[in-house]
Amino acid sequence: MNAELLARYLSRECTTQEYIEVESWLRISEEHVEQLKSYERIWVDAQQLNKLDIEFDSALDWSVLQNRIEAEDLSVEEQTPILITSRATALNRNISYFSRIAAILSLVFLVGFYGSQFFVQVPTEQNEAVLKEISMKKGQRGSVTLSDGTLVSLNSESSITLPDRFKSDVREVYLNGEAFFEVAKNEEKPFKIYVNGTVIEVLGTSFAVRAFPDDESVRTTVVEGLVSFRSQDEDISEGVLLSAGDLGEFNLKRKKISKEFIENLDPYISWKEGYLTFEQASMTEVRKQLERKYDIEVVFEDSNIEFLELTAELKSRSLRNVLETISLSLGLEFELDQEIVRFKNIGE
Amino acid sequence: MAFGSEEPHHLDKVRIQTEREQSLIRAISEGDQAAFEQLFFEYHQSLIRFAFGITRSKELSRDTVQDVFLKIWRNRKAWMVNKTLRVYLYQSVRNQALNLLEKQKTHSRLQENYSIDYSTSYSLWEEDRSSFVGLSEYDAKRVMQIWALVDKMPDRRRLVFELHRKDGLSYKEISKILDLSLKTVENHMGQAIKYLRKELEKVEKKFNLD
Repeated sequence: MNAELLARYLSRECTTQEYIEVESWLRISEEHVEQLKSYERIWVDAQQLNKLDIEFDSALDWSVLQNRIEAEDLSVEEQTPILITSRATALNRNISYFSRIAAILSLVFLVGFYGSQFFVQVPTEQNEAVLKEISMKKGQRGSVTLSDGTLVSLNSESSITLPDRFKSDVREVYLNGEAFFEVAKNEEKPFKIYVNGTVIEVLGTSFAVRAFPDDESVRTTVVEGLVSFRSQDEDISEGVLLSAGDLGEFNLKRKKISKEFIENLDPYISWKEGYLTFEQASMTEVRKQLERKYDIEVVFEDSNIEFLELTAELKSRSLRNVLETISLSLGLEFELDQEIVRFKNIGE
Repeated sequence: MAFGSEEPHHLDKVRIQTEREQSLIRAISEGDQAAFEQLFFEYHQSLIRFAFGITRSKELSRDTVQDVFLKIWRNRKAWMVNKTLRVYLYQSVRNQALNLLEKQKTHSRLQENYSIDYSTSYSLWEEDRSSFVGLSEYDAKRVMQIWALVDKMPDRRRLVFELHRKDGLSYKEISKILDLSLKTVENHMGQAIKYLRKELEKVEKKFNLD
């Protein structure tokens, strides 16, 4: 009994004759039935592939399509910077078809974030100044190879924005969230990362940067190489030079940059390998990272839990194991229900 | 055809164009924008995922599907579909995807390769996703495993398998879309399931699911 025939049987693509053949083969022994069952399981489970599929934003693409149709109908006079984002703000499906408002709403959204300096430069290059954003949602991580060979690993809820083609004299990237960069060496083209008011300039090196919207500082950790880290604000002239093992921190409130040498870089880059490391981290921080990594909600039933500090290396990828470890080390209990975790003190 | 001369039981499952499809096509050719939008949203997800299966690039996939629909709209007055709508759309997407891939190869020097490396993301980080709507953790793991394995299959086989299991297309439709003989499609499906069963047994023997 060959797999091809069984596949056809399962797909209902066989002839009546073959159907009968398979049925009688099944009657011969229990083992045959087991064999079919195991194929059938795979068959049925494979149908669930849809649930895991990559997500695409149909509403966004519909909007882009309409704009293209409109552009064909009118002649487009000048090139304007177009932003194609993979995670758009909600677009109204009922937008009137050939509306004269070139509605690329996400452009406005982004300008607010990064300030006007980037867009003041009118693109002088021949090529369309197309920006693209590569982003990761909660619970997702991914890596990207840029056209110059630089490898960027993005953590959950993080994104980088960069031009379709780098300029001729510099490689520029905007970061929101957390990423690990392995920058390809190119002495003639410095690599610059703009993140939340700071700029990190690199020649060729590997390091991690972190600046989530709810963070109070921008942190850069260097694994290898040399990096300059300073504020984009011209009034703040001081910057620091960071080399392997250095952690640079720019405090957003006080607008001060500092640097320290740290022994253990793990807490800052272990996310890249898929595990979490904490060193005397407040549970508030732990909560943030759990929510981000697993796309869940974490609730502290007792308010004192927020002030507990956790030191742990959590290498298990199973959420349950991680929660058990945390609870064990801090003397807590937890409840995991769908996508919500509740921590409480033991005995309540 | 390799099969007997008698009437096939379920062979040749080509869905005939339904009346609904016919009126949709007619409406679009007459310039009905609402009908065009309907068509777009009905097929967008499946077509773009299919394009991704071929191009492995989110950007190219989006361009591909947009190009196909743009062409339909541009030529709507003379738009005629003498096969089922699904086969037509999938075929167009496949052709355009291959076109764009070709183009990309020739301009490739500075071309960015930022398609999220699908197989890597899933095989290394698959266990990040610990909860799914409607699937138990055990089932989710299994589906992930199948997913990672399907990803390792040679391209044609993977596309055949995905079109059948994910998109629910018949062997005949798949053969038309991918330009393969029916026998080849059957062969691919048989190989696919054999391979999956073998690999899954290996995995199950090695690990106890957490």
